[in-house]
Amino acid sequence: MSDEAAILVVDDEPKNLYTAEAVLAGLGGTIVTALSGREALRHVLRRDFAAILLDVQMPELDGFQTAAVIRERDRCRHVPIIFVTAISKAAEHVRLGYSLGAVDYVFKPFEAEILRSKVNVFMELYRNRESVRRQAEQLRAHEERRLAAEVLDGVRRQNELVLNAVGEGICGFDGDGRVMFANPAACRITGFRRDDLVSQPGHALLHHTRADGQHCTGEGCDLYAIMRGRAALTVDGEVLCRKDGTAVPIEGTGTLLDRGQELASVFVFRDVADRLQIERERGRLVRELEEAISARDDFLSIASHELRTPLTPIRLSVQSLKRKGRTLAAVLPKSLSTQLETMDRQVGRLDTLINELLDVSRITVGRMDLELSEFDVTTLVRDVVGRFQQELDWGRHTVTLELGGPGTQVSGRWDRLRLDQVLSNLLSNAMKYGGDRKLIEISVEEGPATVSIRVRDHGLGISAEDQERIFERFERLISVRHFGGFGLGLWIVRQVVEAHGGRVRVESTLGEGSTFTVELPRLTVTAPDALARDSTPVPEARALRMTNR
Amino acid sequence: MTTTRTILLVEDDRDICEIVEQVLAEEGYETVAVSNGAEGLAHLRAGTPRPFVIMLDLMLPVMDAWQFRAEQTRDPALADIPVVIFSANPKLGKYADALGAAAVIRKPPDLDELLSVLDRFAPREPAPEAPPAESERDTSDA
Repeated sequence: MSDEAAILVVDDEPKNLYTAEAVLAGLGGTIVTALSGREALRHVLRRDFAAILLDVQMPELDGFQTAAVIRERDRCRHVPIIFVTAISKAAEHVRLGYSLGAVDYVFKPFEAEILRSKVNVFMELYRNRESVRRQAEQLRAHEERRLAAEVLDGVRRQNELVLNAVGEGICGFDGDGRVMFANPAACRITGFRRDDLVSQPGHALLHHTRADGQHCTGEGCDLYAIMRGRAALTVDGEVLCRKDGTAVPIEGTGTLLDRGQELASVFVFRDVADRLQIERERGRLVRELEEAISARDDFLSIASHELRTPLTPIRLSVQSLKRKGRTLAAVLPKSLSTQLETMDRQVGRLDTLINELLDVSRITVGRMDLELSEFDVTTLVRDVVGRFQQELDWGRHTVTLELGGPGTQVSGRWDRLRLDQVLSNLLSNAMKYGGDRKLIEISVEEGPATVSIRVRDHGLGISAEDQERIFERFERLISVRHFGGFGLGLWIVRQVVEAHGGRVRVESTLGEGSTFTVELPRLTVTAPDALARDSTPVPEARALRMTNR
Repeated sequence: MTTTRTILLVEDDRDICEIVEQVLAEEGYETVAVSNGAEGLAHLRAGTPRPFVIMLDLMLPVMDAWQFRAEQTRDPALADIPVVIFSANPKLGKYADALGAAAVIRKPPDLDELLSVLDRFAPREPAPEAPPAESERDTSDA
């Protein structure tokens, strides 16, 4: 709708149009003229009119036909139409005109005053309607603005709450590097009040001195680039200058905003003094720990060396005497040879204990290097049992071996000394905790890719809650007052087995004894018939029950 | 017995030297014991008797195993004498590899193990009679 009231005058006589224009000119509205009904229709489709002055008698489309068409259009359905007709035709035309929605009539020739006042009424009406509509529009616009402002206000309040709540310092800078805002955390970290910061040059205030204590001109300075809105950067290992002259270590990220905005960049930062302190502290602890571990390992290494050296002449002497005893049986009294045996055994025990001490540090720091070689594990079992023979006899233990038939080899690639240690530890535990029924059963079984070694005793047994614990370092089943040793045996067993990629487990019932099973992957297999034997698993058929001699 | 079964023992612990000399004498070996690498080299360069094997401790005063091996391997006259590392060092296997040793004997050694290693380098002649003659041991104490 246009603001200005317009009048459309339609008449096929140009003379009449001039007259009408002349009469209506003083009313202050726009006067649009049309020489035919068709032209009039074009005009009413293009703009709004306060009123239409429509000549009834026109060629082609007469006034009534034109009015009918106008009324069909939504835009101009309600435009007041004043018909213009010759006074002679008044009686005939007036009735028809009203039926077509005419609001009034004027008669030709015009009486200027009457035409002017009639048209003026509609112009005033139009103006009033427009004015009301405009006011309504203004009201709506105002209401919309108010609502928008409210929403904006809400968002602003929320932003402020967020800015106030975050632990990070947040500062905004304009294109000149002046602080536009600073949140409470920024104030807390820098020690400045908001008023100290806002409108001040950020870099000169907050970074006049670098982390190394040198004055910062801003050249090559990341913080300067951020505060001037020149670069989006992440800063670490820098400091901000506090109001009290001290420096606070920070890390932070600068973000650039779109060019043309008043706010050019935002810097979000954290006080990292605590973090640095914790890192320093942690570094110190790690260093101390490493030094302590290294000192312990060095000590154990030296200690083992120093302990083994004096064992050397003792063991050689004892074994040399034993050797002589065997060849000069008649000369050596029985008691002397028994004592030599004891000495030799005890020297061996000392040697084992020293090795265990070393293992604590070697295994803990993952330095257990396996020396792999190919060997038959059944031979190893026999060797170990043979070495324990005297102790077994002395404790009246019976060992049965189930290693496959005579000549059976169960070969694989393992660390022989380490597996010797595993078997020795399991066997010595079986003796230690074997209880009254002194039967120890050792068996070796082959799987497709693994070899299982089982050591079973019929002694005290281990409760379910103790079963995991016993594989830990310095743990033992029974208190130290009853049984000696470092409490490292099963821990070493597990470490060695796991270093081979195998596993060890225990099945046990209190009072009924325990079965320890070591399952080792056969890293390489050479026994040509190993697989063939696997396919016929008849353990009884090839089992050799070998009771200890 | 012939001097071909002479062993050079480079070892700074006097008790160890003594007992090794004694037990090896009983097995028909003659042991020449020296207390550091420098003495070992001096002995080797003095000419006779040339040992079949050198038992070498790792940590030694004056000249340790590494310096000794460097000197020995540089000397064509001595380079081919096999060396057995004889040590209580926990890493002796690793060091022995690095030193190019022919074998290791860990302290404290098992006498049987010690003898079987030495046998590989300086085979004993078939024992004439058991036990070994007492006089043998006396002559080797020098």
